[in-house]
Amino acid sequence: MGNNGQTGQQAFKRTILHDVYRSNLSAEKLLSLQQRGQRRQRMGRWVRVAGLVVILPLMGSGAHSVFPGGADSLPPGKSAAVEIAAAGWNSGLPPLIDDANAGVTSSQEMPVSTPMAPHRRAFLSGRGAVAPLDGSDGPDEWTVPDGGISSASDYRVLLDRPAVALADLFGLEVRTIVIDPGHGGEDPGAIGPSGMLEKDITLEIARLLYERLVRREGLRVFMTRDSDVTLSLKHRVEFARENSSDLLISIHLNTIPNDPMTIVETYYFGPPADEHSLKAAEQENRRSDYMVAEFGELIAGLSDTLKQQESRRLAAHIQRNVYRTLHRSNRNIVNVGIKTAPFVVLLGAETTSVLAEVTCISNTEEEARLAKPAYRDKIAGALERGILSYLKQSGRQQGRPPRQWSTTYGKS
Amino acid sequence: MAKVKVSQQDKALRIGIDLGTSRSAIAASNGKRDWVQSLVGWPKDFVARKMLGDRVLFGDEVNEHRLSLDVVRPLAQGVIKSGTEKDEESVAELIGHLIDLVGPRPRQKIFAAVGVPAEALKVNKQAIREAISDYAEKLIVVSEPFAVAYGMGALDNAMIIDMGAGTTDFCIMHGTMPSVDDQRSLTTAGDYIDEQLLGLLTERYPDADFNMNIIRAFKEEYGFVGDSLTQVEVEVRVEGRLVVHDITNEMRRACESILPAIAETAMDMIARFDPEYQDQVRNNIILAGGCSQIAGIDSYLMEALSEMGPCNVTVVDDPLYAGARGGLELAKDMPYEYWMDM
Ligand SMILES: Nc1ncnc2c1ncn2[C@@H]1O[C@H](COP(=O)(O)OP(=O)(O)OP(=O)(O)O)[C@@H](O)[C@H]1O
Ligand SMILES: [Mg+2]
Ligand SMILES: [Zn+2]
Repeated sequence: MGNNGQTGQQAFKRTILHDVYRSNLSAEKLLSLQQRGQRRQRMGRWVRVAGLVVILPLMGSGAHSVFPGGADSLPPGKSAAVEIAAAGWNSGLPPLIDDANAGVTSSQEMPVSTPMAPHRRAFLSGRGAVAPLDGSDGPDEWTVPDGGISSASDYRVLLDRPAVALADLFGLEVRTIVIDPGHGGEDPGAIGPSGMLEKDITLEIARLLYERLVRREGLRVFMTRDSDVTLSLKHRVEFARENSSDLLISIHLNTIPNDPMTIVETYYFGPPADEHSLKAAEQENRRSDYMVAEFGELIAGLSDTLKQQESRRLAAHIQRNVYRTLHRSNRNIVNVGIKTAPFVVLLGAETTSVLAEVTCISNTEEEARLAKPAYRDKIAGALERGILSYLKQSGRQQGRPPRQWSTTYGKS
Repeated sequence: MAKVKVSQQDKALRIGIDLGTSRSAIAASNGKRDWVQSLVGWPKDFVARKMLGDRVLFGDEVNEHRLSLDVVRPLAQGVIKSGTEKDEESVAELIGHLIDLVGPRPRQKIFAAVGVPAEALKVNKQAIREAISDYAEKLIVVSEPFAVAYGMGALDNAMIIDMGAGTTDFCIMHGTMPSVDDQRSLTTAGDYIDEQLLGLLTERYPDADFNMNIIRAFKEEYGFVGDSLTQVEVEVRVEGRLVVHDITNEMRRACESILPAIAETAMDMIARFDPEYQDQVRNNIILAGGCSQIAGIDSYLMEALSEMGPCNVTVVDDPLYAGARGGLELAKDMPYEYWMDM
């Protein structure tokens, strides 16, 4: 190829690389306005928010379809108008409602008017604020182009990576998260080969996780302890209960005596999966403070399978994220997966709860890594991602977002 | 976020990943590359975990232990599987496994260009982003045939036909990134051939024990179209005894069965192209994907398309890695500020 050909090829490359950038960008930032025209027919819902018109394509049927997964099954021409009147909202936080799917199917067919919170943070008493559950940055970054969002994939983007709070858009309730740094005070927890104490590291990781989560809107975050104090498991459980926590994460470090292995495991409540889980539970249950009778009652109240299912899912999200993150620093780390064990702190909590043994303090190299703030922050980041992806998915799967539509639809 | 310093960018590992319905491949800037069947399996129960360990299995290992595993094909039907937790995890696991295969240094940053079936690009961008978020710092996602085109340097007036397992994907390049109109997809590809071949062979040899895996292996070993140079004879069990069967005609018919639709689609796409450049496109048709290795397929298509005028059809040299290599080229060429943060 001659010189001309070469330069021509370079020019094509530049154009194409820019195209690639744009095509990835538009999915990312809702900027695919140019291609709007031809896709208009496929649109569904109109949602008016603060004077901006957002077009949301209507998907299949049922509450689930309002979220990604069915956008392209949108029947052409099927549409409904939804007007969200910010002014209609004036009460406090709505209660958690589980039968979120009720009525949604019909609401898709007709224009509905939905009250929603203009800004949830106004109602918050705790530390925290309302924000997207997906790890994106915050409202400032996100603007609805005033021409509207125009296609199924754009809508998907709105739901998947909104920097505008989903909570604001759809009336998602604020979630309360309790972070429980394991051990503390007189109880050092496990001790590393060179003397590192589990209680110190769990507290550090918990603080970092707290810092990360409070920045997100839509979350109220508490810590069971923020200093080196002795707390019984009973106290921790009650703390979570008193603060009506939606989600409890207890942070621990594992120890495997006489074995240099490093493992990551996440527990939710249930019968011990094996000898190791039983040992782990015994170890972590030592300072439970529960009387035998109370313990019996707690176990009797265990019929809550929904809680268990939710806890299992949360455990999976956390396990996956922690393992992947640590695996990048330590290729020998072993993914033990999620497990059940009778941890008191998990049993007593009335909510979705997990106990994460994020790594092994008994391994010399891992102990050295844990001494570094950056490594602890890495773990906190992984826990955060696990929690957020769980919350996001549970919002999706339980069809929470459209709840407001279904319970209050009618003419405005 | 502060911009990463240049030195850090240079240390980043660039990777191209081709996520296919049947096979997925990776090529990395450290010179390593690998591929695996797109299969992910989890030990089903306690016994399976005892035997295999509590871990995720991939590719051939999944086939080997199929009965003990919950198996997911993360890209079945050309889109990212979703529904159950395992479905959703499977793509991420597969990507993580591919990255392990090229061995990044601990803590090395990864910039990934991922090619996916055209359909997945439409509906699954976010799922892909999530799946790779734990491994890569930066990501771009493109359609598979486009990645192939880019890797071949076929940027202008060219047509790529990517003949895979589930789909045959077409893409016309004209100096820009192909738009929706420049791409098409047919469901006549490798799997379709397998079904045809199985049908034809069971009809002719009702007593022989054929199954899909054997059939696919025959096709990959002996697949051809047009005139055959030799007889295709294979040994198959009949009532427990190995018996030699001649499958020459069945093989040809099955392999040719996908070609009329492919030729027709190619002609139609070219006919819609700017008339001034149709000649050039016709002379720059590139076949990629596993099925492009079927013997004689290029000349067969060349002949079929020549009714529009002279044309030239070539097969990529390295069908297994064409997509991953294209992704890697893209990852290397992409200016820093064009990358998307995870
Ligand atoms: N040597 C060969 N000869 C003929 N066919 C082959 C050969 N090698 C692989 N194939 C077939 O190619 C198909 C797989 O091709 P490829 O790996 O390009 O698919 P994929 O990218 O996973 O699928 P898709 O493009 O549909 O997502 C299978 O049907 C396989 O049997
Ligand atoms: Mg392919
Ligand atoms: Zn502990």
